[in-house]
Amino acid sequence: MNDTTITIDGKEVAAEQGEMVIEVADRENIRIPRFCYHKNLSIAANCRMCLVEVEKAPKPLPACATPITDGMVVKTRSPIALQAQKAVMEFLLINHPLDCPVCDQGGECELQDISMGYGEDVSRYNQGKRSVADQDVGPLIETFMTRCIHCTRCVRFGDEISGMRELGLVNRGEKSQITTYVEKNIESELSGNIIDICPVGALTNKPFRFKARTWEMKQHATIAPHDCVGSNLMMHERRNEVMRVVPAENEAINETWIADRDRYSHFALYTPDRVTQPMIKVNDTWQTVDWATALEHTVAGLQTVIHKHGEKAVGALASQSETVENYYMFQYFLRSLGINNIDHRLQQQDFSDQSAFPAYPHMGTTFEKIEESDAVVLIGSHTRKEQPMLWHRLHKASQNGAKMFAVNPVDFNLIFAFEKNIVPESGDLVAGLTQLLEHIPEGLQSATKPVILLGALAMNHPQAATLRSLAQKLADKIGATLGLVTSGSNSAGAWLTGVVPHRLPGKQAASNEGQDAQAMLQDQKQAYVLLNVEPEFDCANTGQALQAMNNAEFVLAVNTFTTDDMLQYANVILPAAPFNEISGHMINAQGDCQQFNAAIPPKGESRPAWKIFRILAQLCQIDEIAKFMTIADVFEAAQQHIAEPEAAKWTADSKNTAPRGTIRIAEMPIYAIDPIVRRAKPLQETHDATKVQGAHINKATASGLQVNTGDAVIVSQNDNEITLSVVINDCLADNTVYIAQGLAEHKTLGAAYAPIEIKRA
Amino acid sequence: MKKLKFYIRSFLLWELFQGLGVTGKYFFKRKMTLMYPRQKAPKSPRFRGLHALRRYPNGEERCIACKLCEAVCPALAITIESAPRADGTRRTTRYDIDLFKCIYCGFCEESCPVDSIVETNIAEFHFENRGEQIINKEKLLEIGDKYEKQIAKDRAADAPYR
Repeated sequence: MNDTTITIDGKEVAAEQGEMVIEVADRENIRIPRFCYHKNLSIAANCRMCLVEVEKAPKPLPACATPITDGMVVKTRSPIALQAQKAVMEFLLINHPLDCPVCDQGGECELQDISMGYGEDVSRYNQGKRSVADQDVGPLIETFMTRCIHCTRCVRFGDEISGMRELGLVNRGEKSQITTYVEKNIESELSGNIIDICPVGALTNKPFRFKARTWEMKQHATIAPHDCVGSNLMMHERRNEVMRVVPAENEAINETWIADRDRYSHFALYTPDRVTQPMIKVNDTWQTVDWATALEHTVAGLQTVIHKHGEKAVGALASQSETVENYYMFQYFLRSLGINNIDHRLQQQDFSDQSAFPAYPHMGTTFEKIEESDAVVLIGSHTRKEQPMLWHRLHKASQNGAKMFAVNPVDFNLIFAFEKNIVPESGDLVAGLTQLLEHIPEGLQSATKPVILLGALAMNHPQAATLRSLAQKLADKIGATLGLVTSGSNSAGAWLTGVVPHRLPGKQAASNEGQDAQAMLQDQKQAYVLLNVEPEFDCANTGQALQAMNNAEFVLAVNTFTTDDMLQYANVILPAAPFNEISGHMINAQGDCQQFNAAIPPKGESRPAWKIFRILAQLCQIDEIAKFMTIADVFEAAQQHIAEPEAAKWTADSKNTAPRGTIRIAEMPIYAIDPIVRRAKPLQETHDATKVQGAHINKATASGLQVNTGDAVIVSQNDNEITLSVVINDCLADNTVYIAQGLAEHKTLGAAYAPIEIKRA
Repeated sequence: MKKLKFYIRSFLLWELFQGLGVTGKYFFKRKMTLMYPRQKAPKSPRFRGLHALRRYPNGEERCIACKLCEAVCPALAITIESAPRADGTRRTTRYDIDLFKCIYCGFCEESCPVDSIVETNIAEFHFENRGEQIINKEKLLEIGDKYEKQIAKDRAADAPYR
């Protein structure tokens, strides 16, 4: 493809027809200064900083907007080019305040860097500088609009990437401003990226404001632990404290962006309910003890239950976002004790086709390929809030002309337009999908590269198996790739390492099949082992889970955080280090096994969970544990089970009946998805976190109940009643009530897609 | 000839007397003993002694937590933590100087964009307990308040040469 040759600064380089000069120069490591050009955004050519001399052109040309031609001779550092760049710099600095010492961008500012090279020491202008009023755009982004140089990167980001045109350039000339126009919060779940792309200090990180300088911090590469995309991150740490998170570039996964959830979740790491010391409960009072005592207490407690009630009386639940190593040692320890009730599928309700699952659920395609598909069917997937970076790929596909279809329990706003969007009554997704299957729309029929994705709302449906087999039928009919988009960051790793009741590591069927997450909680075991799980928030039927915990004789929580309820029901709490303090591997939806290292040492006495389970196994006299000396040994044992993604064939139907009557629709909202996110203060202050509160019903349901927005209603599930305020939301279908999961107020309620009673308070 | 001269000098102990001559010169010279601490030598306005943080005449602290002094400090003696103050301005929440680490080079003063951190002409200070050598923001501001007149005088005297 490299069919053209051009000369840049005397160097002959091969280039592709249609490329811009700046792209070729960047590839050849020839730096051309720029402000408005960003490789993942469209070209605006409005800063003029990248002016270069092109032979035979009468004037300097902007490198970002000049397509190459064969035999072109470009000079980026000739007197003409340098003079042009210097002049542009002088113009930019006329109105830019010289407040670098108080500016948060100081030290990582593109304007500061380039003015070192191209700026003059003394300004020729004595006139007053322009000043622009700041806007409050929400809890995540701080504005200082006087510093803006109108590169419009943030505007283009809103247009092209986040899909929400929240910022715009108004007025002209010296009066031009970047503004939200009407003062409002920036609400995109990708909004934090405009902080990174802003070349000056106009848009900065609000929670991080004035906290640290770039040069004080050390940078560590890590992986985002909140969704199955596995975005690459750079964690910035100062004196063993995480200060901020920025994206690491990986074109195959997250390009140059990350979701706000990944950027701001680290603020949870220093909340007061973080456990940093082993704790045991003696005579109903909590004592902070040393590791030896706590471990002894744990082993004694577990063994007492096993002696009294047998191994079947113990249930073990792991979160969906642990590392491969943690999962492996978790199940190794439990299986060595003969405990087979092991699961990580906390929110699922239908396990009837679990043995038909491939080695691990995966997307069936890659993020990059999704962009190229020409039709996408989303089944029970609120991608925009579940996996924002996956949504970004879908958004790109739709911008490329892909036709979008959806079967969702709620008419979610996914920004792109749907060709057909089925929102069935009573959350009966099976009916909705059958409808799509019976009348396959023309756009889907004729698609050449269609993709079908099942999201969390389908996976957690009581008839998930039927949904999978119907999706399979649809996929076979139109020749589509069918994929599952799992919750949590390492569901794949959990499947592969055998953190499921029916399989040992590596797809071997377990000889003693244990109970799944739902059965474990329904049966009320005598003891539970929790790995970073808060059952009252994380399980499908939170009310039931809480009850099961309260009734258990012994609960061991290997957790990073405690909750008020946990202090009631747990007997031992061992401090597990969170993702930034451990090393390990995580496997994302497209099957990449990504390794990451600890950014900082574990806080206090906390330890990586795999080490905790190793020592517990040692204390339980499991001889073979001696072979796991280091994390490399654990990974080596787990690695042989990590398989290539394989195609699944779903044919089984669910045994559960379709939901009927008034049904609760529930999802884990974007900022309640896991214990870390739930504690991140900046995220909890966003509109995304607050708007999911309350009972959402549509107009018809509301008029039936004779209630209006803000009125109190009593909803009941599991024989528990709570009072919520009504939010009228016409995205909902008839006979459905949306009450989010993962919120403290809703914890006594039951499962999603289960009947719910709602009445006027 | 040269060799002969050398021998004669050696026999006559010429170099020894030359040396004793210098001794004798100073032996009879007027003595210059400063009766420290009652007497003190004059100090240059550029003298670099104990640090201080200055304030503006209206009482507002000058420091804006830009952290340039921390960055430039070759001995890593300065530790700063910063946060927005209630009124939204950028301020330090911690400003520690370890006077054992400090080499009194004066880079901090040179790097300061608001003339906040300065090295006063105070050369006499001592510590009685471990840990006292780390002076915090409160102490630094106190020193600044106490010696502001002298600090301002010294800066004014040196201003024409900056």
